[in-house]
Parts: sequence; structure tokens; C-alpha cells
Amino acid sequence: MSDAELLHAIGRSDMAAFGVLLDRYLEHVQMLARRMLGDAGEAEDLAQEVFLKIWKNPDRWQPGRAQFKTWLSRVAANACIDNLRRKKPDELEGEDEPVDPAPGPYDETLNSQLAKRVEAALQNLPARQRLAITLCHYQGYSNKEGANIMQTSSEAIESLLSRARRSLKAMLADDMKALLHDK
Amino acid sequence: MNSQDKNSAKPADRALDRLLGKAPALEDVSALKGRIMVAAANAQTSATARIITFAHMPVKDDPANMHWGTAALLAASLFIGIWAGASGAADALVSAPLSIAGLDILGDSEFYKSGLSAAEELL
Repeated sequence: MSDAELLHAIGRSDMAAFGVLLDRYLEHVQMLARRMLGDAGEAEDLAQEVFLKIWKNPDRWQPGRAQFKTWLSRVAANACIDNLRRKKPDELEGEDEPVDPAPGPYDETLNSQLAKRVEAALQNLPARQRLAITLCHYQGYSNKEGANIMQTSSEAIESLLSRARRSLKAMLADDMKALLHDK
Repeated sequence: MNSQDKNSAKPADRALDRLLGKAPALEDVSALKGRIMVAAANAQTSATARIITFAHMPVKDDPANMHWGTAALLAASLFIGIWAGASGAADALVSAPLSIAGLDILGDSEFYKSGLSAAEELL
């Protein structure tokens, strides 16, 4: 069943079709929200909010204008930006030097510590840089697709990605060195 | 970018990609899927309930007008009752059916009066 057929069925309040849509895209939206918000609970709330909007208004997606997955990613990304704006109004505009995510106490496994540091580094990126990394690194979108979702140009997203990677390398310098040394 | 940066760019990028891959993994989304399905079903139920409520909701008049109309009717019936009692206009209407039924209002009054006198004498 195509996405368009699913959305059509959802328009007739077909629960089974809604379940199929969730199987297809919930993980995708959840991943985007998790990387953007840095909190599992908030990410779940946001994913629920996005899919309930689709359930109530499936005709908001216009098939001729964008693929459903692209449109869905845009809806989820905008919801994340709105959420961040409510929480931290300054973050979206700010391009301040990121805070060094200092390693925590070594009472957990090294991998878990490293995961926390990577998460902290991602959360320290300005929101649009984080969104660019999330879309193009974690979700596998091309720069062009990412630019389409973020409603910006390919050049702009390349610049965002470049700055994000530079900041991440700085924030994770010690781990990078260790990784390069091990190699 | 100097020559040293160029040489180290690719390994550094690869290292960063590996590090980004270490970010916390996603939790299982099956429980979340269940919650969203329940929320969608609830949203549908409440929407239907709302439609039914609106469809059967009676159209109300302006409550202020209703109170004034009721008060005016009650006041009018009270005045008619007082006027009819005071003027004796309704006596003929009341006595006619009592006579037909064989009841004598005056006689009953005298009977009660005499009964009362006897009781007073006893006291």
C-alpha cells in the first residue's frame, strides 16, 4: 500500500492503516526528535503529537508537492524547532562557542560514557546545525533532500554541516585523539 | 587549509563519523506505537461524542426573557385570585357546585361554631 493510499484510508478513520503508517515512520520521527531534543521522553511526546496531527488531518499532505517522508520530516523538524524555541528562546539564534562536554565520573562502562559525551556535544550545537547533522548524518538524507526539508538552499545546509562538524570535532577532541591513536 | 590539515582531514572525518555512531541508541518504539494508537482512538471517540452532543442540544430561548414572562404570568394570576376573593365575584361559581353536591357552607360553619362553644364551656 502506498503512502497516498494509507493517508486516504486514514482519512476514513482506518485504524489499521494508521498502524501501518506508524510501523513505517514512527522510528524515523522518533530518531529525529531524540537527536534534536536530547531527551527520550520529550521525543516520544513530540512523535505522538506529530502522528496525532496526521491522524486528525491526513489531507494536510499534498502528494504532488513532496514525498510523504520528506513532508513528515519537515513537520517533525518544525515541531522540534518550536519545542526548542519554547524551552530555550536564545538557542536558535545563538552561534556561541559550544560548552565543553566534560566527561563524567567513570563509574559506568566506557561506551555509555562516550555515548553521553557524543549526545552532549550534539545538544551543544545550535539547533539548525543539529538538525542538519541529524538529517544528513543520522537519517541518511542527501544534502539536497536535507535542504528541502529545512526549506533552505544546498549551500546553506553545506555550511551548517561544515560548522557543525567543526564544532563537534572541537568538543570531542579528546575522544577523536584516542580514536585516531588506537587506529 | 594547510597541508597537515589536508592530510588529517579524512581520518578525522572518519573518526567523527564513528563517534557520532556512538550516540545513544533509540529505545524500542513498540510501546510508543501502542500509546499513539490509543490516543488516536480516544481522539476519534471524543470527536464523535462532540458531534452527537451538538446535534441533540436543545435550542434555548434567552433566559432573561423566560424569567420575566413567567413572573408576569404568576403576578397576574395572583391579582385575579385576590380580586375574585375580595369582591365575592367567584362565590356564585363556588356555591353552585357545592349545592349540587348537597353541601351547605353556612350550616357547616354554624356547626363548627357551636362545637367550638361547647369545647370552650368544657374548659
